[in-house]
Formats: sequence, structure tokens, C-alpha cells
Amino acid sequence: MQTTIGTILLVEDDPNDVMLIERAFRKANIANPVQTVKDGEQAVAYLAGQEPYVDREQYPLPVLILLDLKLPRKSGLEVLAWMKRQTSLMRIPVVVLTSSKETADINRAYDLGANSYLTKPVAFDGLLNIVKALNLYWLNLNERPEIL
Amino acid sequence: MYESIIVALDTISTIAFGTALIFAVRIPKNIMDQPSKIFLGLCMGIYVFAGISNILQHGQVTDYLDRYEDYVEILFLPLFLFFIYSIITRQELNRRTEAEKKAQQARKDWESIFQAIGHPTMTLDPRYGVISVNRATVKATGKLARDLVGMKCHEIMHGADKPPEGCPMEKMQTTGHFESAEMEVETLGRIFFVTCTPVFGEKGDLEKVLHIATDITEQKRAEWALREALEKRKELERIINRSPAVVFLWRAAEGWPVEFVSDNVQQLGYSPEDFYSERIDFASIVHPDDLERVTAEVARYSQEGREDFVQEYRIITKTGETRWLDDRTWVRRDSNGIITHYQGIILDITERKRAAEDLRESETRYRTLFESASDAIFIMKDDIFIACNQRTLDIFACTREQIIRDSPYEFSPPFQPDGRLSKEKALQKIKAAFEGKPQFFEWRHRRYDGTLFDAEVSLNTVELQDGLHLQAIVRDITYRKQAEEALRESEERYRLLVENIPSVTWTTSEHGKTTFISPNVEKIYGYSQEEIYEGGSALWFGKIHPDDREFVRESFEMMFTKNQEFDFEYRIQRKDGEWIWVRDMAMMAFEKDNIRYAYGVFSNITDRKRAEEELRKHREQLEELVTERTAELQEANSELEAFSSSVSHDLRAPLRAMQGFAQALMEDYAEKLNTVGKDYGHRIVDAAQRMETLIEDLLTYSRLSRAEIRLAPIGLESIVEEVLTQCQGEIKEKKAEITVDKPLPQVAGHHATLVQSVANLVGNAVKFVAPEIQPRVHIYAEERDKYIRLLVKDNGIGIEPEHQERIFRVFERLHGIETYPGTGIGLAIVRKGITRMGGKCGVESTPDKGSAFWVELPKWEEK
Repeated sequence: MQTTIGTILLVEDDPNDVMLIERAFRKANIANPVQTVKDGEQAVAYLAGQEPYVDREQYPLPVLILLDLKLPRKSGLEVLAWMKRQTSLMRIPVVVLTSSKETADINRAYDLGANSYLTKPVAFDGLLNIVKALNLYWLNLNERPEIL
Repeated sequence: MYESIIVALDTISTIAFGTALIFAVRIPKNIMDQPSKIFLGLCMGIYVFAGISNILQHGQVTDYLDRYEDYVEILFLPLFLFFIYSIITRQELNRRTEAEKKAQQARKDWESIFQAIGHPTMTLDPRYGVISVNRATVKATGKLARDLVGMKCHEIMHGADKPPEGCPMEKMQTTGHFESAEMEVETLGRIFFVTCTPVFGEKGDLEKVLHIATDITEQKRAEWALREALEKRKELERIINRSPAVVFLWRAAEGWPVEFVSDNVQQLGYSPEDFYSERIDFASIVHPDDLERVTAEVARYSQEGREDFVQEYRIITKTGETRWLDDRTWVRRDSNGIITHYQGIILDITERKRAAEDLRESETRYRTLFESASDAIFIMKDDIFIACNQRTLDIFACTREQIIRDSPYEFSPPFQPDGRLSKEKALQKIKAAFEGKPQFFEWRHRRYDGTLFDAEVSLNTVELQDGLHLQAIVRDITYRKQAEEALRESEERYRLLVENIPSVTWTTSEHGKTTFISPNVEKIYGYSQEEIYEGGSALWFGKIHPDDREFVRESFEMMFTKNQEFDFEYRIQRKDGEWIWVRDMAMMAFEKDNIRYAYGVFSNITDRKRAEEELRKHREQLEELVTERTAELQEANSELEAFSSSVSHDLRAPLRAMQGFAQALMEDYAEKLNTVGKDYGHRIVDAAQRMETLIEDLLTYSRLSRAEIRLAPIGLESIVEEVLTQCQGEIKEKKAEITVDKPLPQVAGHHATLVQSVANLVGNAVKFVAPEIQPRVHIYAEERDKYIRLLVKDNGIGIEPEHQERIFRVFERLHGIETYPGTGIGLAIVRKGITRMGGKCGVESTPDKGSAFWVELPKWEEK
């Protein structure tokens, strides 16, 4: 599975943001497939391989998770906390991508094991830069851990 | 010729003969006596004359001379022969008489020597018989010499039949050695030194003994006297050395060197050697304060020709103590009357001085005591004043002359308060005192001016030199009488107070018996004084509220057993059945006949209790209200947080969409949009960007209100550096010139907040500058008391005074977005941040000249 290009899991409820991020990925020429889930529960389901994400061929475990914090049904922090308790998932790098700059959120995310914390810039150029940097750092430079 | 030879020979022979005769004249007397010599002399003369005439004859011949010579020659021969004979006979005769004379002379000499011996001297035969005695013997024995001869020597010398023991004669006899012997005998009232010298005969046998008794009485006496004198002297020295008197002999010289001092000088710590070695002279031990006086006195007395004088002065002992000395000095002069020495006896009179001093002090003390006593003290002989102290005069308002020789009853009114005659009563008291019964009584006295006063009198006898006297002490007790009166009044006032104050005072024994309770108890409690006295504690405790009764009873007992404080509030039921609150305070006060008593006060506090109860209720209500409000506030706060959070999150989402899609539109559909369409797109992007900034600033501002700010020491220099790095873009863009006055001090602040605030100021300074003007920003610090002020001074457009306060408020802007873009929140953030850190901020500005924005933060102080 790792031999193929790693999947990126985008946890984002705002369809506008999803579109813009996807556009940015395109603009940055990132070939990795992006799977999108729209709330916390879906994210957990996807990662746990539950319905409707049982098929790992179609929904493979991601090499990077982009996690929004403000999510319907289950917050990003809750997803993060759950995930870091799962031995099979805990090593997957998680980059928080959110619009919150609240210190409390930032600290809590790192406490729960987030690997990075980024805020969504308003300007698209800013988003593009972030996506480029993500690609460079997390997908290319960063050595991936073994995912069980 | 022949004749001439004869003549010559004749002449020579005649002259030679004559010359021989001249020599004969010099023959010693024992060979030739005087007449022979005269005769010989005549012959000599004739021969010399004959010889000379012979010469003359043959030179100038005369008959006369010739004849004369012949006569001479005829005469000469017989004369010469006679002369020779005479010489021979005479010599023989001389020899015989000479020997006889000598023997006689020797006997005479011996006899005279013997007689002349001043000591009784005898010659004895070996059997003690006296052969001869001399005059001294006669004189000493008082007997005649002829009586003495033939007596035994011991009969004479000792009046004894036998020679005395140790007699040298006896010794000689017994030892068989004939030697001289000496002995001292005391006989005939004299002391003799006897020498016996044996005289041996021609055959070596003891012929006789020379017995000389030398009278040594005088020598002996002198010797004894000397010995005695020496003994006496030694004794004297011993006496002196045992006595406190030290004997000195000083040389009359500078510093009085000591020639002799008795050993007992040791009492002053010195040894005689100290003085003899001349290490110390006498002047050097005299007290420095006295030396000048002593020297002057000695000089004066010496000059006056005094033979002796007495001085008192101090000296310093070897151990450094000061001693007083009494010095009696005698002057010793030489034959010319010049003083050579002083000799003296020195006595340590320190003790005497001290005693005298003590006595004087004691005398002064007693006199002072006597004079300064606050009581009148006086001495009476019989009933007459003979001495009094100053206080007596003060008390009786009179002079000494007015009181002495008067009587105490003269200084009294005719009658005493008890109605008795003063004189009679006084005499009775005086008499009793003289009989040895000390008297103590109150008396009414009269001053000299006639005014009266009460006194307390004590009478005692005192034995003085001239008999028994009476000592009286009179104390003016006017004040005491007044004080007693005042006390009585005060007690009365106190009683009235106790009986009238609203509180009730009480005295109760440990057994619960009330011995006193103020009468006003009835008003509070309903029960009267009497009812309480009767009912005791049973009545009292019985009326206490059942909930309070036990602890009141226990505490009441503890007060007595453990001396604990008793101060309680409890409920009690009045006689009419109404419940009241009382506060009861008590303490154990005294013990009498083994029973302990307590004093207490209680008062009705029902009204206060009621008020307190109400107050408590109010307080509780208030607390409830506060809790409620706090909860509300907390809710509002959380809501605000939630609001911020959603603003931060949700408000931005559409903004991003607006901006993102506008950009996408312009990029992805660029060819389909004309210039106006592109402009619209740009405007959407700009507006969104502005909105984002606004939200960002608002969030920052609201975060500042909520965030926890912990103060720490911060170097302003690092803050400014960080800010300049942050604002690098704007500075470059505006080509601003920034100067920083380093070093900058430390303040107490919060790093991020301070950076944010200063960044806003620097940003403004660079931004608000007239177009075409290079911004020049000066950053520096000033120390102001306990604060540090950081100033950011620019050359900008300045602010009118009326706006200088406004600009620190949220959303306050002075310029259009077109001229100077901004949210109007920057300075509000500065104020909020600085205020949260306990500081102040402000601006000094002149329009068109520039502004100096400042922030002030406390100095960092280690706590």
C-alpha cells in the first residue's frame, strides 16, 4: 500500500474550504489522492475502517491527515484524542488546519499529539503556500512511520 | 843641717802629738771622763802652740819662744804620763760601776714597770703564795702591800680557800704544763681577765708566776652596752617593722632619694631595694595631684627653719592603689645649718580618711534625710523644741527662732477635736513617750499664722549626749484627709452609677449564692433583688433556656475551678414569661473565708440579637445574590468565549470563500473578464482582506481581556529588536529611519503582549507620516519613579489635542481608509495590553510636528 502514492485524509466540513484546498492541491501539482470526510464521526469511521469505509482499497489509511477542529458531530480534538489512543493509527502524522488562533485550541491540539498546527489564511495565495509547504515537508521530506 | 832636721822632726812630732790629742777629746765618755778630756785639751793646745812656735822659731828665731818651748817640754812629760795613767785607771773603774748601775737600773725599771702596771699584778710562788704585789693590786683590794705578801692569791682575788674553777694557775698545776693562761673572773665587784705567765729559774724549774688580772669591767660593760644597744636597735626595728609606721630617711635632693626605709614599706607594695637601687625616688610615688603641694610645703617649711612638720598626702602604691599618708618629718642639718636629710615617719591613714569621709557622708546623708524629709521632724527636751528640720518650719509656717524654745501645744488650738485640752493631752503623750511607750496619734495643729491642720504625730525617745530627748515626727495629713473625703465621694458616685446603669452588676459565690445584685435587675429580669438573694443560682439557672443552660452552668464552674473567662450570651426567661437575650460577663474576683466570689455584669442584648439576626439574614440573601450573579457572569463569559471562538472560526469561513473564489475567478477565468470585472474581483479580495484584519484585531483585543497575564522581567531592548524585525517589511517599504537609544532598561511585563503593543506604536509611527516625507522614528526610555517609560517619537502628522484621548478607543479613526488604512483597533490593543500589565500609555503630540507615544511599565523588582 505504501508503495503507491499515499492518500491524504482531509477532515473538513466547509465545502468552500474543501474546494479551495483541492484547488490549491491542484495548483501545487500534488498527485496524492485526497479523501474528504465532512464531520468527526465520519473521520473516525474512515480511520477505523467502518461502514461505509470498510474497503481499504477504496479508502486506504492515509499517510497524512489534515484535520479541522470545528466539526459537526465530533470535534477535531475529539477525533485527534481517539486516534492517538488507537495503536494502529497513532503514528499517522496529523496536521491541524483550522481558522482558530485561540491559544487554548493550539495548546490542546499539541497536548493530544498533533504533529503540526496551521491556520487557514484568508488569502488564497496563503493557502497555496501552505499546501506547497505541506507537500514538501510532510509528503516528501518527512520519513513516514510504519503503519500497522 | 843636723839641727834643722831635728827641728823639723821635733815640729812634726809635736803637731802629730797634738793632733792625736785632739782626737782623744772625741773618746767616748765611758773611756775617758771629762777632767781627763780637759787636761788632754790643754796638752793639745800646748803642743799645737809648741809646734807652731817651733816653725816660727826656725823661721824668725826668738829666745822667748825657745825658752817657752823648753818649759813646755819639761812640763809635758809628767803630764803625759799622768794622763796615760789616768786613762787606764779610769777605764777599769768605769767598767765596774757600769755593771752595778745596770743591775740596779734593771731592778728599778722592773719595780717601776711592775708598779706602773694599771692592772692588779702579783708575782706568786708555785704554791699560790704572793711574793709581791703592785699598786693596782693594793688599790683594787684595799689592803696594804705588806699584808698581801704571803697570802694565797685566791684568798686575795676570790676570798676563797681554794683557787676558783678554771683558774689558770690551777690549770697550769694540774696539766703540768707551765704556760700562760687566761680567764675572765668576776670578783671584787669587777671583771678581770687573768693572765698567768710562768717564770722559770736558771735550772728551768718554775720559779714564780706573774699573775696579771686585767680589769676589763669597762670594756665588758661597753660590750654589754653595745650588745644591748644592738639588741634594742633590733627590737626597735622589729617594732617599727611590725608597726604601721614606716620610717624614711630622705636625702635633701631633687626627688627625695631614699637613703633608708624600714622594711615595712612593703605595706605600700614597695621593697626597700626599690628605693635603694634608686629606681624609684620618693617623689615619684607621691600622687601627681599632691606632688606640687607637698613639694611647696617642704620648701616652705625648710625655708622657715622648721625642725619638723606634718603633712598629709596621697601616694600611689606599687599595685597602683591610692593611699593617704600622714607624714611626720624631721629636718636634719649639717654643722653649717644646711639641710642634708629629712627623716620621717609615715602612717597609712587611708582607712582613717575613708572613715572620716564615710562619717561625713553619713552625717550629710542623715542631715539631708532630716532636712529634706517630707515630715516635720524635731527634737524636744521635755516639752520644749530644741531642734527641727526645714520641713517643720514649712509646715508650721514660722521661722526657726519662732519655734525653738517653744512647746508643741503652743502650736495647737486650745482644744483638740475630741474636746480635750491640747496642753493637757500633749503633756500626757509626751510623758508616756518618755516612759518608753512610743506614741502615734492624730493631732490638730495650729500654724504660726493661726490656721489649723490635721497631722499624724509619732513620738519616740532618743538618747543624745546630754540625756534623753524626744523625737517627734509630724506629718501633715490634710491631703490624706482630703483624699479620704474624695474616696468617699467617689464611692458614693460609683454606687449611684451601679444602681442606675442599665447593666446589672452582681457578686456571687462559687456555691451560687448571690451576695450583691444591682437593684435595676428587676427592670430587666422581672425578679427583684430580694427574690434573687433568696432564690440564688437555682432560680437563675432554672430560668436559662434549656439549650443554653448546661454550658452556662459548666462555664460558671470552670470560672472558679480553672479561673477561666466567663463571657457568654444566652437566653433567659423573664418573670412574665418573655424570653430575652442577655450578655453575661464575669471574672473570679476574690476569696473570702475559703469561698471564692465572682464579679459580673450582665445586660439585655435582645434588641442587638434581633438586629444581628436580621443582619445575618440580609447577608445570606446577599451572598445568594452574589453567587447567582457570579454564575451569570461566568455564563456570560463563557458565552463571550464561545462567541469569540465562533467569530474566529465561522466568521472567517465565508471570508475565505469570498476571497478564494474571487481569486479563482480572476485566475481561472481571466480571459473572460474585462478590466472592470477584474477590478471588481480585486475589490472583493481587498474587502475580504480588510475584514480578515478587522476580525484578527478584534480577536486580539478580546483575547487581551480574557488571557491570563503573568508578569516577568523583560528587557526592553529585546522587545524593540523583535518589534523591528516584525515590522521590517513596512520599514523597508517606507524607507523609515529608526534610531534606538541603547541600552534600554528592564521592566515587569508579559512578553507577547508587550511586543504586540510596541509593534502597534512603531507601525503607526511609520504609517502616519505626510506623503513624501521620510519617516524618522526615535525609540528611547525614561525612568520615572517606579516606572520605565518607553517612548516612540515620530515626525508624523501629529494629532490634535481633542483627539489625543479618543484614539485609544476601539474603532476610533481619524483618517479615511484611502489615506491611512487601518482597523482603528491598534491603539485600543495597546491600551488594553499595557493596562493589563499594570502600566499606562499616552501620547504627546503637536499637529504637523509629530507625536511621541509612550507606554509606562513598572520596573522589575525581585520579591
